[in-house]
Amino acid sequence: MTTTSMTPPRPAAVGARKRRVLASVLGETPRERRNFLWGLLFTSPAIIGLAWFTAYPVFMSIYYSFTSATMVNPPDFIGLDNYAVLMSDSTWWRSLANTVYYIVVSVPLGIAVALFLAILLNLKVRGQSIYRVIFYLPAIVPVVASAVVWLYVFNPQYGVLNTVLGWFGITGPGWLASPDWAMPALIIFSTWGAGNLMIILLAGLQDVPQDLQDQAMVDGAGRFRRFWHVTIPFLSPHLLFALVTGLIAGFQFFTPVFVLTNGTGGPAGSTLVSGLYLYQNAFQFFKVGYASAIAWVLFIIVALATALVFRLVGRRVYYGGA
Amino acid sequence: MGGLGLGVLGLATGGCTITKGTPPISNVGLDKKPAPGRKTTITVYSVWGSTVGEGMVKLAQRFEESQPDIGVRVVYAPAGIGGGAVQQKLFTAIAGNNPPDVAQLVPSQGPQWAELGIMTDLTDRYREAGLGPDDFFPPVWDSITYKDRIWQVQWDADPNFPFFWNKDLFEESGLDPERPPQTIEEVDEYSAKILRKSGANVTKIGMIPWDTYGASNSLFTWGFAHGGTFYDPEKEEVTPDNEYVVKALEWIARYAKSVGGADRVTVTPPGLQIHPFGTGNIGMAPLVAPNYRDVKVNVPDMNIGAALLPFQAPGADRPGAGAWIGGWSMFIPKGARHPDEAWEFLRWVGATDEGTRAQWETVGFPPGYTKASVLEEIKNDPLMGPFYDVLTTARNIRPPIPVADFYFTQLDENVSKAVLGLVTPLEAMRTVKENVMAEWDRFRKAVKA
Amino acid sequence: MAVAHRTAHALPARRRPEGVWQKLVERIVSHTVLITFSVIFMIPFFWMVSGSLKTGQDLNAFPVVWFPKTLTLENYIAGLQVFPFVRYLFNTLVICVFSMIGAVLSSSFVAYGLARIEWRWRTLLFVVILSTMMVPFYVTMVPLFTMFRAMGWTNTYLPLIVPHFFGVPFFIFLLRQFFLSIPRELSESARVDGANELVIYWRIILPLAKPALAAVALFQFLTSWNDLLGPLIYLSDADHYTLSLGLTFFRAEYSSQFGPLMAASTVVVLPVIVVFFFAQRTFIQGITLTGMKG
Repeated sequence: MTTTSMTPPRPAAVGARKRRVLASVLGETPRERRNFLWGLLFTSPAIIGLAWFTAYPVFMSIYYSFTSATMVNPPDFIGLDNYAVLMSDSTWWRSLANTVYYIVVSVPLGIAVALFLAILLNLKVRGQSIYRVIFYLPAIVPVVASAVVWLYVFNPQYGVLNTVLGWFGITGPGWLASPDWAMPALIIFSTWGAGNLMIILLAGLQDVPQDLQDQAMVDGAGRFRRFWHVTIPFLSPHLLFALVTGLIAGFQFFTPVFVLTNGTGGPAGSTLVSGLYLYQNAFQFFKVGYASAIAWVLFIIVALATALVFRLVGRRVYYGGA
Repeated sequence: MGGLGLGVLGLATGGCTITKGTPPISNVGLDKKPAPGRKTTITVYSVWGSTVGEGMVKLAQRFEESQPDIGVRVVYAPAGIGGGAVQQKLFTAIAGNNPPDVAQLVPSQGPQWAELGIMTDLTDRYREAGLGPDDFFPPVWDSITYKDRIWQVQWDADPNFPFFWNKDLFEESGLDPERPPQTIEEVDEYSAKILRKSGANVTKIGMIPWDTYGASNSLFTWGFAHGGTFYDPEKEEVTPDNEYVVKALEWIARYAKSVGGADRVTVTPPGLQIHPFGTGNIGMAPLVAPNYRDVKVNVPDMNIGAALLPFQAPGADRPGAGAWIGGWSMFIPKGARHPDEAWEFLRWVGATDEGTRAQWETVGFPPGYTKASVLEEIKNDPLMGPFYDVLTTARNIRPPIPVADFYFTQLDENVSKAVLGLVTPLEAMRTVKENVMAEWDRFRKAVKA
Repeated sequence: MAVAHRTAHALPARRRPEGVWQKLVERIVSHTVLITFSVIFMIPFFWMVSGSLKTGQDLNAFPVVWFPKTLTLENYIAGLQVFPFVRYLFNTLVICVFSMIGAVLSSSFVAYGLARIEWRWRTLLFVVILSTMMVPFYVTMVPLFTMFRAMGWTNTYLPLIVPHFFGVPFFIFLLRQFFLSIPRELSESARVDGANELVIYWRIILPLAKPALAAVALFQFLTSWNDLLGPLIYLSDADHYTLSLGLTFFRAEYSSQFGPLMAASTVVVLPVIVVFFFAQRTFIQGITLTGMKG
């Protein structure tokens, strides 16, 4: 139909804008729209869950971080005070340093150990199932039981570690009693619990195509090259997963520290990690507002670190299907 | 291939026997439903497991037997992770407006919780019941009052500590087994004789002053023993830099240095379930009653002497000056549904002859009530005798300030630093003071608002 | 497939005798390494079990006794009587089984949406879901409790089970990675054949990801089995308590009843071992995914 210059074309223009907005959300082509709807359907449980169970607590804790909340009283708004105090809180910075130290060592170490163990457990040997159960045991023994063992392992005088070191003529350090060695002791302890990561990588190993391995072997590739060029790429999505979740968990690392140092953060604060500092503030000092501020600063740091990992490592991940 | 562990076990034990044995604990359970048909029922949170928790249940039963109107429901509400001081369940219940009628707290937490407004003021009730300072040991009275109001009923007046020594080890080391040290100087003398090392590791030691139940408790004990004070009620400030407290810390740090460093002292592998004193490698130690009991039961041939804590002039002037009363109290959370009946329970357990006796027979802690007739039995009890002596002569409590927990945490960290030689004792204590005063300031502002 | 011809008979003759030796050495080395690690990993478990069988004397003996001469069952008798073991076992199983089912179904469902369907908002949604993992539980604990209280869910198992039916971020991430590794062609050809996404999800993707799903089931089971804080703050009727709460019964302020605690811990660990044993049976080299037409 023809329009004359007298009639303003508004309805059509508005309609067009609406269509453009809708298109940018739903998709331009029928296929895109179809995918959008399916995508929405499949992720709807998570979306509902986010709205129902996550949104309120998350917003409340953000709100708390701007108040002097004590958990048992109505909170008072104090603006950015908590954050300001946090920036000049030397204990916080120290806890962050301890946490970073922990992460930088334990995450790569944990992944390497888990990968090594997963490969071991993938070998076709007799009793494979039994070995798998045994290797996984440390991850399922309750902390109450294993904590005592570990206090024994780390004992400077009678402990297993120092006894073994003694066989090589090395005088073992004070471990949990020494401010320099308490964190290494904790790192060793958490590497022990690599059972879960080991299982994930083991599951991942099942997807490494055997025919490619065989072909590489036939082509004359040695064990290591086969590993590097066939196995690793197929494991890379899971290694990325391990790296990111290790990072996230590392910043919240808490329970083993609490159990092995009696909640004090190690000799002279050497194992006071951010997770413990947060716990102390929330439950021992009743500074829920401050603890929330700590949580959200940690969140920002973790988010940035994760984004960095995805950017640097994520691109080199080989997704067999995507 | 499978039974690796069991196989090794079998090999090693060879001729091992299997017995049924007698179970060490009963099945009373740690929670309790109220007796039926009562007019009102109160809910009591019990923080402990094991025999103490069972004792609480039995105590509640005795209360029900002693009167016809009030039923007691005991809810087992342990701390989430190790230890009874952080009560997540209690806090979420209070925050969720669903508090129990009776809850527990460590007396030093009183000031903070009172300022936070979660405790019910009991002053009038005490007055109506005719209870006053004469009814309680002085440190107990100090603990339950804050800003001239009364907030708690202390039912466990834990005397910290009697001083025990290993008579056999004394004899081996050339010391008179019947003569314990009276002063800190004597402790040093005796320790020099007891100390044995194997290479860099210490195998026998006189005492471990920095590990008297944690770094902060160690400083409290030995600080009081030197005559120090930790806070000034008039100025409303903390005084960790008090000259005698610093002297005490200097002594502890010196002691650690003299044995080669605190991280070289582990005269016992921590697989033990009893206090290291039970290994026979430690000459002297302050102990709490449960640990003392464990040692006596599990190491029956050790000859142990008991006395009051050594002291150090000029700050302190008598043995036992270092003792302080810790323990547990009960309180009525604000918003409790049945405060009157809750008070009846509190009063019965903590301030009546019948109730304190029932508590002693079920849970087994020393009461804070001076008129409890059961004190006579405690005095004559072979195990608890030394604790009675401390209970009746102790003068101190840990500083009752609103930021007490923060203070203790600061002390833990900085005492540890000083003991390890990373800072001087004076610096450490100055840091503590600075941080705690800043925190106290902040807390004041937060609750005033 | 271009490589089909380069297989089978390609081994040069001189490799063969070395091959036999090499294999033997490999087997000896593998077994040695496996056994060494087994011994190391068995230590905490062994300690727990041997502690559960020790008499009070041995438990307190110094130096430490690794192999008790006298084994006793008293710790088991005592440990399993202190709290209503069978009831707590039942309670814990209820929570674990339902959480497990919920976690596996919902997380795989959501992960499918993030990995197997190309749509505009999937990355953003993934980032949001991932971010929820970065918030420490302790600061959301109290508002969460207040919310559940307002809904009337306190003192029930609902707060412990229901959220798992809406996707667990950790598992969503895990499964997304697995799903992304499955070749796109599988989905495409199924779509061409007329299957809709639900069918592809159920019939094609899920069966291919069995090891990953088994891992998710195992982890959720284990997490719920050992969860202490959740049951602690949401449950107030001791009849509903779980095994993890039961284990705290052995702790007093200055000491623990070690023997019964070890006994109870041993019994509590056994079901997890059983679940693990069955889960890991899916970890066998499955279908190879490249060259599927070859």
